[in-house]
Amino acid sequence: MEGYQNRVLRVNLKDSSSSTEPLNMPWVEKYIGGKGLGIKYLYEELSPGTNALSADNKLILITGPLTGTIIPCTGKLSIVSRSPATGTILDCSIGGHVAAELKYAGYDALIIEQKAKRPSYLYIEDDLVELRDASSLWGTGAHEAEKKLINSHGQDVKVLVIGPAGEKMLPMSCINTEFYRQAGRGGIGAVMGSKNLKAIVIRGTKGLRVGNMEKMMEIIPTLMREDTLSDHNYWAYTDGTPMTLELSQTSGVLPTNNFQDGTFQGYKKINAEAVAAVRKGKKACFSCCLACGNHTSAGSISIVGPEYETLALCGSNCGIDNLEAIIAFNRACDDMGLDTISVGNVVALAMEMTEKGVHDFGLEFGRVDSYLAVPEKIGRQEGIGVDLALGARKLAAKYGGKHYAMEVKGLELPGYEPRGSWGMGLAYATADRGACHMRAWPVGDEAFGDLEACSSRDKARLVMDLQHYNAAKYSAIFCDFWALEFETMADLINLACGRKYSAEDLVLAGERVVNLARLFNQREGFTAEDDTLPGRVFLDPLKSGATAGKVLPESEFTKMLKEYYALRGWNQNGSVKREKIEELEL
Amino acid sequence: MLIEVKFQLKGPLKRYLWDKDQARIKLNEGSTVADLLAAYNLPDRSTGMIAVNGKKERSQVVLVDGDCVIVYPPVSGG
Repeated sequence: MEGYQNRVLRVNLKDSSSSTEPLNMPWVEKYIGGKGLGIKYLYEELSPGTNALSADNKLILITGPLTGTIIPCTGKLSIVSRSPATGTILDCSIGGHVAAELKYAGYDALIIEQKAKRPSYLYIEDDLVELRDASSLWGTGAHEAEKKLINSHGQDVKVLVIGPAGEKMLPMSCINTEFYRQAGRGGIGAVMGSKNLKAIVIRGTKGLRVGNMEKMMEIIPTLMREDTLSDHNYWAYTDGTPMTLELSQTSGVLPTNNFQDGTFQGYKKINAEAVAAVRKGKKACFSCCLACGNHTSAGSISIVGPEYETLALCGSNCGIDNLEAIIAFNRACDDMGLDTISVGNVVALAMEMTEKGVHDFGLEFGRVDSYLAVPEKIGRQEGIGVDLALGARKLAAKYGGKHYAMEVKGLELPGYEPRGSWGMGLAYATADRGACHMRAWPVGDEAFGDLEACSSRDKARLVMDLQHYNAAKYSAIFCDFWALEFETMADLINLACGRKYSAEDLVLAGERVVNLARLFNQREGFTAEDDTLPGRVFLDPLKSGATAGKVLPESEFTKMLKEYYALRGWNQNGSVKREKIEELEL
Repeated sequence: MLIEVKFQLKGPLKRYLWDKDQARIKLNEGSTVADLLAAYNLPDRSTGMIAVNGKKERSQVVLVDGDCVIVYPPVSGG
């Protein structure tokens, strides 16, 4: 089929063998690509109960039908596996140019199996696939490793690499590319580490056939001008994600001091204007005209970032209003290969546990010196880093601070306070990989929009619809920051693939993906009991700003959850009914 | 009678203020945020959250002398 290379590369690290096979087209029909197709492959190929860090777990890198085309905002790569942090299904997406490179090498997907005998990296240059020695890279930071690989193989290669955190199989380790872009959540870096795989280096020189190139060339300039680059999306270029910080502050959903509050006194020092003041340039992914990445420099340190999530979790949530310190912290997390959302959470948790006398980690809200030392300590597994690397759930369980641990299914909360955006609470509780803002983002309609934010009314429908939208979007692989309609999505897939998808087909595909992810988790023993929120959200009122005095009452949460299960056609225990499986042809 | 309000546009909306960070504008008493946006030819679909004196408000809110209005673009995300 056009738009696809119709080829999957499968690599066995144990015996260094590789093979190719046709892309499973009946699955493509239903799941499109990216997230959905990756989950389908994993669901069918992974034996239930497989330990996420065992050799038997698989790592699936998968593109979409639009990857490598000139269609804007389609440059991301999906990476699918079982999560070492949560035990759930895990799909992450990573920007940059690596997805297009994989497609140009002639593959829609790369499935990595088993474990290499020694530290290795995978080198792919079109049909050449080799497992090479990475002993000299093992133990190095992600930045140094990527630089060395580029020096060895030339500027044209694209690299996926882990830092020391991934090597040590930490549950908050990520995969990096282009130094500052991450597949961040759920410990995806640990899966690479568990396979003795330091990096994947890709160079592709092949072409890609699309359904209607002439039409594509004709419509893309207009589409970019009138849709992608309209006021609706252009904030991504002018400011990038830091724009969100002031919205969160104003609406009282900015996590502050380990989610004890929803507003932060020092917000003006870390908002979009503050980031713009240290910005040196912009950075875009393949095929993107929005260029959301802010290349910043503070003191002697340069990064691409910090993104909103880092500003919120490693800034306000740790009581830090020093942008230079946040940039240094961000840089250290990137080099160690650590997810800033989870690290920001666990540091804030340790700060509160210290403050409340639960356990002294030597960390204090707002204190920069001890904070700055944390990423290296976690990544290198030294001092308090050994404890902090446990993640919020296990750290709290070890010392008795469960009430302060902000996580769902073992994954730490992103930067939107659910007490001031109740639909966001439901979205966190029902997201397939634990607390995630990228499965549904109702905060945009609630706290930042016109819907009543602290109300359960109609939120189940909102969250369900948004989950279908994002699941379809991540399967076709469009970036979050292009708020395109289902109809446009369908038109573009049809142009690339010569298909006749309708908007309704994509909604159905989204529903199918959400249900399949649910079935995966169900098979691994997850139930309705896991679809919950940290106790603090139900019990502790926020202190200041627009959400002062707010909680999300557990009774209201339960009401939303029951309504959500009913709307989905699931059993009241949250399991997928047989009729739904048949209806969706899962 | 006229009132004077301080007006800030964020991100891409700054171009409606000729790329200035902020402006002061005189409006008729009883004017709303929607009237203010219309005065600058700001299309409805181009605007997201509105804050008046640091508090989230709807565009129908009536302004008073000395108010500070901030208009954000719609964001999506992530």
